[in-house]
Amino acid sequence: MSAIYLIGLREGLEITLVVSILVAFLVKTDRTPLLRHVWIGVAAAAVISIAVAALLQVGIARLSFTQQELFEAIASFVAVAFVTWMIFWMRRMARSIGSELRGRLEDAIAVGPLAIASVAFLAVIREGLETSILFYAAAQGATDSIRPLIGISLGMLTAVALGWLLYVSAVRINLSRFFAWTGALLVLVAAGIAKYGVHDLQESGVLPGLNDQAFDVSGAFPPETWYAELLRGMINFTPAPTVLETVAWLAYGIPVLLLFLWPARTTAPAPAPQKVS
Amino acid sequence: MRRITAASAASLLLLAGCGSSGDDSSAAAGSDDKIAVAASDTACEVAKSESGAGTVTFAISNKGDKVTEFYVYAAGDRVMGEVENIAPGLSRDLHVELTAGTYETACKPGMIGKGIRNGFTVTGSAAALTEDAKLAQATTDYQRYVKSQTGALIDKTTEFVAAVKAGDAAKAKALFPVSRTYWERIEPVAEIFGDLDPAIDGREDGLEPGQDFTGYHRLEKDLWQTEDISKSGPIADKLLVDVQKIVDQANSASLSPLQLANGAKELLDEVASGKITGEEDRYSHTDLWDFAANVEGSQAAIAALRPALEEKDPALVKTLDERFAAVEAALETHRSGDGWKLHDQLSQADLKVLSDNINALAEPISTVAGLVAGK
Amino acid sequence: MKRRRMIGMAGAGVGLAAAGGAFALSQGSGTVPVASSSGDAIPFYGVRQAGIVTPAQDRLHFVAFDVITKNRAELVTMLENWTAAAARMTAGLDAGTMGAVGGIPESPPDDTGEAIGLPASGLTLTIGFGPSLFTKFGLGKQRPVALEDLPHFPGDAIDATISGGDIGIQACAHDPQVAVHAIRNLARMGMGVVSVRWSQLGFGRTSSTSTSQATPRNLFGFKDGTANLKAEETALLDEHLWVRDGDGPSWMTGGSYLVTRKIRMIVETWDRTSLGEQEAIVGRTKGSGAPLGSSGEFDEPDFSAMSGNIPTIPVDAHVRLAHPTQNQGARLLRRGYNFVDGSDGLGRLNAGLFFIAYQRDPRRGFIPVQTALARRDSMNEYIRHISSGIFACPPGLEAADDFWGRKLFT
Repeated sequence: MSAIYLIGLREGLEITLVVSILVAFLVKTDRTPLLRHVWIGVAAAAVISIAVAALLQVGIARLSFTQQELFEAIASFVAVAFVTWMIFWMRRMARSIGSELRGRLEDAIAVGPLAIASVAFLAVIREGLETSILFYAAAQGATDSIRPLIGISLGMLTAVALGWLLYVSAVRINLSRFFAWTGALLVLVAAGIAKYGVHDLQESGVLPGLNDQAFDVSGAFPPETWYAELLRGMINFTPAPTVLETVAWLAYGIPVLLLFLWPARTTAPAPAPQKVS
Repeated sequence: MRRITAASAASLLLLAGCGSSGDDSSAAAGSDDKIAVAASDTACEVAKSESGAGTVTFAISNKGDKVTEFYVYAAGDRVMGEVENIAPGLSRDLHVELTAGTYETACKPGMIGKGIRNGFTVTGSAAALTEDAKLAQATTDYQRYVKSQTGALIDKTTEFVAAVKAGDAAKAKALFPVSRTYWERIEPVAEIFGDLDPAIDGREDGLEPGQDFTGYHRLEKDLWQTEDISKSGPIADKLLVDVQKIVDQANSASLSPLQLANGAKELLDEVASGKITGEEDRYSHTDLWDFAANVEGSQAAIAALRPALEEKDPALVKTLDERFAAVEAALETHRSGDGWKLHDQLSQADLKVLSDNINALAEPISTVAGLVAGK
Repeated sequence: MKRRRMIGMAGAGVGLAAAGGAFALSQGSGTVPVASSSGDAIPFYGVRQAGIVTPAQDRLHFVAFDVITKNRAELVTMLENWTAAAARMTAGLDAGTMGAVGGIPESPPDDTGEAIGLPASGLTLTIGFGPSLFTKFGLGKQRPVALEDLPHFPGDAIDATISGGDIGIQACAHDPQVAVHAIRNLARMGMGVVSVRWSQLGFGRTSSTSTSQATPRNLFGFKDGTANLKAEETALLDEHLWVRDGDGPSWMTGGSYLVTRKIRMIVETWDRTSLGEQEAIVGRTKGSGAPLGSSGEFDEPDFSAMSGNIPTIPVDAHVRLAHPTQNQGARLLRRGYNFVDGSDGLGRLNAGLFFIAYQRDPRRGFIPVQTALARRDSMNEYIRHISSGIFACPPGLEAADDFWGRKLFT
């Protein structure tokens, strides 16, 4: 019961992290009309995931192991690109906010709704397929025992609740702090996704070195414990990563984080006036 | 970057999703051709241990208390397929394309460790791997090695025989282990030619009634035990003739990759059963020369196979490298001048270290033939 | 690839028994898994390692290994592979996944094959780590204080080449072929990582470890182990056998310390000794096994009883000196076996007792008892201690994600 709950929570966490930050950002910058596109992206990904899982279930289509791994790997790298774009897009926004130049702010925000939708879509589709298949497996087993189904549902609901909490607290804090925190968090998330993508490529045999472990702390982080699952859900931390995965994580994480934290040549953004709610 | 739209990502997924292969026999996944796997925290019961080639479907149900995952491995723990996150009470399916060969399945309760392994055999139209270019190259490479060794073998044996016939015992004693070095390096080749091997390298106790005691060890006995080489001329002449015959045959023979792999193992077996015990050169005690030569010959065979092995099981190649190095290091401690200590100068503890190192190397080498056979 | 059709508790039953926490000895209750027939399997997984309170099987193959690799990861990998093979072999399966005859013709089989067609035969494999292991791989901090090479006792004639060892494995089974098969396959898997230091075959268990077993006899012809700790005495086991939390490093909690002694018996001189003297030396009657002066085997010896002006049980009798009341209550779980290793070239059988004892702390168990015996036991005239070993045996493995020595190495 608790095991499947944690799996549901883990699979749901990454989705809700990205989506809730995106939503909070749009709300804070008074871009609520764009919210529609976020939900369109989420819904499209969810529908596709569920549809494919259903096809797989009734046996019309088959997804071999390698195909699934490759799909997840490709989706991961595309997601990394989009999330990275989102990080710097938000950063640019943060820089322009204090500058009183509405025009520049408009420029910065003026991205196609498609980009917004794609970020949301990719955040969901990456884990969506695996989650749907899991959900089907749980639903199928529900004839013997309803508990896995309840467990996975509760796990996902918890993830959504956590996402909502993040959203609520993000909406409350001042804008520049919001950008600093959520940006840094997103870098970790994106680095985790990059690492995950490399792992998938190793498992599908495209990249070598699946058995060369960088380190192994599975003694201290048994994979089934809640804290290990949470870490894995948020930043894809695994207790025994391969050397290549670790290299990928560092190669993405360090430069991007440095770039992100690099002080702009413009003056530091002044705190935005707080709305009294 | 921006061109990747929701729609194209979706089509990517559907392409992958509908990419069921064209073999219609397995496309209709009925529940009866799934292989049931009952996993628990302490057991992994795979209903069948073999299947036909093609898409194999495992239906794994987790009856334990821990989350589990299920793997199918090929040699060297190459992942052929896996399904993870099988929570307690859940069932998941794994579809995996398998060609004929031997595999291992593993349930991993707790998703860590090596898991509970079971063997799995896939039969059917085996891929013909004998035409593997890398293996063909191995044969050619080894042939070159044999040529280089046989050249030196003829030269040194000629010198040795000349010294014996000249009655120069001291020189003959010095040349005896040196000329044998080249012989011992290519012994697997020599053994292919049946009756010549005992004539050149037979030991007195291995002879059948009526067989003459000739070859290296007869001269060794004359040099070290009876200490009389005045009548050894004919024996020495015969040795050179026999060696010349073997060399001609060896240079025209072509060893198959499988013979190479077995030769690498047999050379080490020679060490383990004859050289460690000091039986081989019982009069001269120059066993360590033979020991080193056998190991070098084994290494040469493995080196020829290396490109093919790198592809099939890189982890094994790494292990072999480490263990060859360990044997060399253990042997190096017994170097004396540009040769070796005599066998009777080694303590029981020294011999045990050498024996342990040879066993450590021979075990993984014994798996090379199976890999070369391509199954 | 099954070695044979599984019966009784083998296979799924093993999983069930272990998953259900087969026996919660730590709670001081529960039962010991007993194979109903000699062919059955003993569960490999559980709170305790099998082979300690398991009713003693008829045959033993004990082996001690030296670790020869300098590479810690190699040793850990071998322990993982050993554990998997042990789980398979104790369930009556082949050591490897392809089996003795299931592989391809070009490869050596991954099982040596001498157990083809034989049942599990109650095989248990029990692992322990010797003091010398803790001088390697920076394990010094993990060494329990209780794990020290045994001191020299008066009269010891210890041969170092058949003593000690970094890792000890006790294989017990009802069929000697099954026990040897297990050790042989583990030794083969360990090539390059460990090397066999010494090994010992034993037959005819000399102790009963369960009240369901009759007391067997050693090669002196006497019942041995009458007053042994028994599997059913859970309170006593908690006190004397199992290492408790706080006794030492946490990896040993729930484990036990194993002492091995190879004791050569000079049976030829013993056999020339009169029945009365034999009984006086042992302190029991040869027929029933009752203490001198009592009538039943399980009667408590009366050490105060006098025959005329000398004690009925002599002051230097083996039973008196080894008794808990004479040793601050020290109790051991003995699990020894007889051996006959051919002959000694002097017209005598090379025979004796391969003594095995498990205890919570050797410093309060074997050492004081043996000190008393070595000084004064009248039996010393007929025995020689020729090898010695001590091993720390960790608790059992509860699921397949665990392996032998994991807590020690990670």
